[in-house]
Amino acid sequence: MKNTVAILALILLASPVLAQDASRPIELTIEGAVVCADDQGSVSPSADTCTGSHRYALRTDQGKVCFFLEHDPRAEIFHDARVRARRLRISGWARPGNGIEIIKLQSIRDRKLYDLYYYCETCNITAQVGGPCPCCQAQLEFRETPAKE
Amino acid sequence: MKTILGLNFFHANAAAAIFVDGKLVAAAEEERFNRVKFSAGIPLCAIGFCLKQAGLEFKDVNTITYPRATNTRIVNNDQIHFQDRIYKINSLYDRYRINLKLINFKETLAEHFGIPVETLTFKLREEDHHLSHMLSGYFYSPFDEALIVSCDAFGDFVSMKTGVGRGNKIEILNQVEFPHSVGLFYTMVTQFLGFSGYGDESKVMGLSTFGYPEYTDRLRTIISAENGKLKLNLKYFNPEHGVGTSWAETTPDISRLYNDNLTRLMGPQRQPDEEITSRHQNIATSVQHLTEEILFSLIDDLHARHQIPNLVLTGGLAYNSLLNARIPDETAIERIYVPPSPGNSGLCIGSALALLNNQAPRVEMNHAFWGPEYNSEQVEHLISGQGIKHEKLDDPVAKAVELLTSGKALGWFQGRMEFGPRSLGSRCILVNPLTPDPRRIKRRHNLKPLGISILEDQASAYILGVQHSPFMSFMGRLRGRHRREFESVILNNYCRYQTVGPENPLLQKVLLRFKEVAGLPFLINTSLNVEGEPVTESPEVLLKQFDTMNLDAAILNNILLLRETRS
Repeated sequence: MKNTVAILALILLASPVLAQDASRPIELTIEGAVVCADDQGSVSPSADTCTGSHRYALRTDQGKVCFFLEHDPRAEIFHDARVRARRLRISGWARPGNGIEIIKLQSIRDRKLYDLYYYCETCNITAQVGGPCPCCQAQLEFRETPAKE
Repeated sequence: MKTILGLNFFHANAAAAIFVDGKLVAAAEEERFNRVKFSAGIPLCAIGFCLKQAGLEFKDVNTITYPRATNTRIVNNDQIHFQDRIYKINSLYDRYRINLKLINFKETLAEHFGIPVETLTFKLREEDHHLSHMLSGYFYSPFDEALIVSCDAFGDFVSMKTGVGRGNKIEILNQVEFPHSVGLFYTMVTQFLGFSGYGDESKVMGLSTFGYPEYTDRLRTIISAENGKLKLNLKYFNPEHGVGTSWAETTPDISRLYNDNLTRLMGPQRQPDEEITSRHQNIATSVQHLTEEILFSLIDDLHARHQIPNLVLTGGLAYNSLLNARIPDETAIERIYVPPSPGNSGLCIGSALALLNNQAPRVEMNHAFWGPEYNSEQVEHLISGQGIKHEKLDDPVAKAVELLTSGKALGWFQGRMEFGPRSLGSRCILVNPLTPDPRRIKRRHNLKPLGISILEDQASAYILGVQHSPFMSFMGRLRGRHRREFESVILNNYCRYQTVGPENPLLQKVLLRFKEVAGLPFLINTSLNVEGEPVTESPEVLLKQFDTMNLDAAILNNILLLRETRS
């Protein structure tokens, strides 16, 4: 659970299978808290003040700041303060400038993983961004449930 | 006078376009007339309309063009792909049967139009499928220099062609040959997700906004693009059925593309009536992600070689408005143009342009109103004939806005019909976005986004990274503070949008007036049809389907019909 960016990147780069395929982006998994940071990695005191030149990022337990991509639709979820307040585990593809494109996002509580999502019980629709249900227009409900295997 | 009739036939979306002295005069899809969605035969009705609109007869037509390389490629390619066992033997038979029909083409026209076959003196000229796509896009784009990418499942045994357009010329750079195809890959996963209808890829695109791209690496086993070379792993394709496409006179049908190896790789396929789970969402997100990754890398490679910031994207893949929208975000491209009909119907325009070569004037196509129109006398005659109560309006725009602000779903039937699949202001259903549950109107599929029409100069305040989008070619992510106003049309924070400026004067008037009254610069705009059926072409069809479309009112030119007084 304590994998770092550097260790994972090294492992992945050392993998003979992936090393053969230069076009495949490097996948990494990081854990930490959501922060707002500028391009130099300078972190705002609060994740709520993510405006102007600051972007949402994940500060890992080792203090490394990994930026979410401005155009990554899955980074929309950080507009929700409930998500920002959680400790997160994120797997994604490494992008230039300490960027990470999200493949999967989960929260960690008591060393257990939880799936975060929005749900409409009436229509049984799951989404990664809050707002109205595309089926019945009722507000989707935020949920955090133990991760499925 | 030189007259060219451009056709697309025996492909999905048969269509016709007519050019007089190099100028496009009319264009329409056959499905609008014969009411068969994606109709794939000879576009006899569309041909009849084009001639009528141009005020011409068959004797005036010099050449008929069509996008099909009948003789030069077929023998070699069919043999090669038959050996690959991916191209279905029945499809080979279909293709040769169609070629036989081409031999009898003049007889078919003569019989349908009731004219002697000897009067049909036009020449028949075939043009390359992807070159026709490229021309239909580039020629009417706003660019004097652009990269051009044409990408679909396949046509003339090629799935993608790239080129550079400069002035009136296109230089072809590269092509990807069948069976290797990013379009086929997307269609295969679409079928795997339980969507087997022709054109169901749009549902997967919609579904992709809901999930995580967790399956991307697994899907890389099926498709790869290394050093710019696209390759499908045929192990996952159905060797028995191959790619069986049926291009009869009806809606096209594509046989099941995948085999059990895909199930072993991805788990069980979704049955058509099965509930959609987060696994299905994640597979959809992954196929969309990988398709984008492949296209974006190819586009960046083209940009690096040629340093041209403009892109024309055409072919069936350009219907993927989510992918289109992400190109300027994710690649070095600054401006992108997608024609009003990037799919097969646009081939009728492209094939004629291929023949015209340098003789057609290059002008930006700033509207898509190339179809038929009906004047108010025709409409009134029809309505009166059916004994339907109606009212003549002095100011249809003011009445439209009054109805919209009071929450009515309004059929808006004005001027010449659009060419291409999107309703852009002449055959549409307009709805106030603050109306509860607008999807009731057409019982629209949850995964197919409703479109909006928004005043061009206001759009960037509402949509992130907004593009000039007169043909509704892009999905946009919404700026957070405006989400509530879009609640009825968004699909996971995305909506498909048309930007409206002076080139679309009537719709612009409606939007300006609506903004004055309701404070919002946009309206829901969805096509004037019953879900799953072709867009309404004539007042007759509108009257017939008024109730099924759940309309509250309709304005045809300046004639108002109301649900409550209609009978």
